[in-house]
Amino acid sequence: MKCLFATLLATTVLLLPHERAVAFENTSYTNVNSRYRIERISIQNVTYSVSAALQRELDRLIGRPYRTETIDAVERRIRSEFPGFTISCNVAKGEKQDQIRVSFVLERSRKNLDLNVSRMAFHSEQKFSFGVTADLNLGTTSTSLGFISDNDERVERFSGFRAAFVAPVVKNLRIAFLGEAYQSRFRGDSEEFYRSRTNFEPTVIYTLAPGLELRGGFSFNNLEFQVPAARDQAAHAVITTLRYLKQWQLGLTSTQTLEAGYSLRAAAHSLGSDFNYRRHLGEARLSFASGNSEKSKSTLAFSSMIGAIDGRAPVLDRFVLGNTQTLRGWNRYELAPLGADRMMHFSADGRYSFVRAVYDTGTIWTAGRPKVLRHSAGIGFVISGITAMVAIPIRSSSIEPIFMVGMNF
Amino acid sequence: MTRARLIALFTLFLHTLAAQIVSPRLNDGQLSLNALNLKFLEGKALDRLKNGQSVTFDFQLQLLDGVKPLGRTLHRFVLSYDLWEETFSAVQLSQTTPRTPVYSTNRLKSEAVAGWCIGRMHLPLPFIDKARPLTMQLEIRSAGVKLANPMRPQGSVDLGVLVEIFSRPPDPKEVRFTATTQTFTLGALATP
Repeated sequence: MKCLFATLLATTVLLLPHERAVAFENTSYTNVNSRYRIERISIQNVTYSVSAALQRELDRLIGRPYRTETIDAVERRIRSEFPGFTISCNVAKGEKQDQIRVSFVLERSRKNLDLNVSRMAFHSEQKFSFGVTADLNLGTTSTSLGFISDNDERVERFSGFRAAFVAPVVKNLRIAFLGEAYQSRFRGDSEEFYRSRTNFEPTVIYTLAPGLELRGGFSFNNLEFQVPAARDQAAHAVITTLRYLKQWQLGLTSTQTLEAGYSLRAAAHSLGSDFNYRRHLGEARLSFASGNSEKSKSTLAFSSMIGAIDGRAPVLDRFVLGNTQTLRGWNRYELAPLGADRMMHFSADGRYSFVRAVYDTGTIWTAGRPKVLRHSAGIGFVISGITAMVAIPIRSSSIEPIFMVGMNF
Repeated sequence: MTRARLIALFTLFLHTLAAQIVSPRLNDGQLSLNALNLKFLEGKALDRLKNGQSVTFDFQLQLLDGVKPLGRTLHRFVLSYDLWEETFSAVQLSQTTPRTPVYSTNRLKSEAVAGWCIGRMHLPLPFIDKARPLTMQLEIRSAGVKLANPMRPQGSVDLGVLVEIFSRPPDPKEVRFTATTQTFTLGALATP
């Protein structure tokens, strides 16, 4: 019995809170861990390289007292450098007494099923272009299925379906399969115009370094012609693409992004192709954005493209200028109605708040023919990612403005 | 007393101890609460604390005549968890000079945190009939968003801010905890 009461007494004493309050010491930190120092601070799961400025900031914190507001500032900084990631911060005891380890874990934010409008544009000469895509992300694999009707990117209006599948094989290596089936419509008549086309592209994507990807594989294009007689022709090619993407933080509020790429498409009779050509395309884009690029107040971007085709390529692969991306203000049917095999283009694109202005210059020609450098300018406004713009060709003869509205241009 | 009855009595006693109990207390002419075994530290707020972050909690203590409030006191406390000592620390912020810590304590076990905070809260005795049945209600809310430094403007402890916080419906992201005393009278409390 005595033992029972002793147990009861001990339990009661243990469960009673002990109340003691001391006048607050003269310090402005309310977190008890502020008396410990940071032993290590790191970022985990980084696909792209951390900017030198951010790394310096992390290194500078080692050995300093732990401050939650400093850690929060670093987290905001990481968030602006990696906008597509979810960031969590883990704080734990360090290896040494009274030291703390801080690690930020990055996870790519993506939904299992994501429906999005991949293309939406109206061009007063080319009319509507529209595309929707459903992305299904299961584990590390991605599958997408989309419908598109586009009269902007190529010589033709192509309407149909595309499906893609991407899965990792080993670290830094992924396989991708792309399948497309389109009906094609052209303005005017030509023996070079086809009625429909299908494409199957098995490729592998290798990450050479953070931000640097090499893609290689095959493209099996089948074109169905009707004129002068119904026939199928193949444009099978080896494809190679090298892409580089890097983003830097400029100070605390601005970012700079560099995208560059080179792609080669080499069709050869040895692959069963009816066409024999090599298509080279080099692209570069440098952009500056104040703050997070998705919600920036102002942006300035410079982009350039240069392309050349060696050999006889189908209309499918020929270059086009004079659409919502290039020489805005020019009608592409005036410049090269069948496309061309040489192209150079430069564009400057600036936005402040909701006002956007563009200047384009470029030339498109066929080898052996004279080339003419053309210029255009456009001004418009952007609301919720949708741009409405009026662009004019800069020339001495009559000027017909072109009106464009849409997203992703 | 048989052994079975003793065990039943002991079990009932342990159950009572395990239950979360708040009871009124009269101390130096002021009303306060005795809190036993209050566990409001749980879920995401506890996870954040154990991840080395500070979590701000707003406490409201009300004296109620039915549903009619006769008085209330509001306080903001900042809690943190010592990663090395594995104990909690609490800081009470001032209301008269906003964003200023006034009292602090540390090395508290989880179950003692609420007791320390509640011990800092007092209500003046109302001038009402001492036989009127009353209750006291404790409400604790944590901010839904992380308040990194509770002394920064977003963590202002101005009384108006606290009143606004407790006047609106709770945010689903918030931790919300309420406990109400049994009905009592001031006369019964004053009787030793």
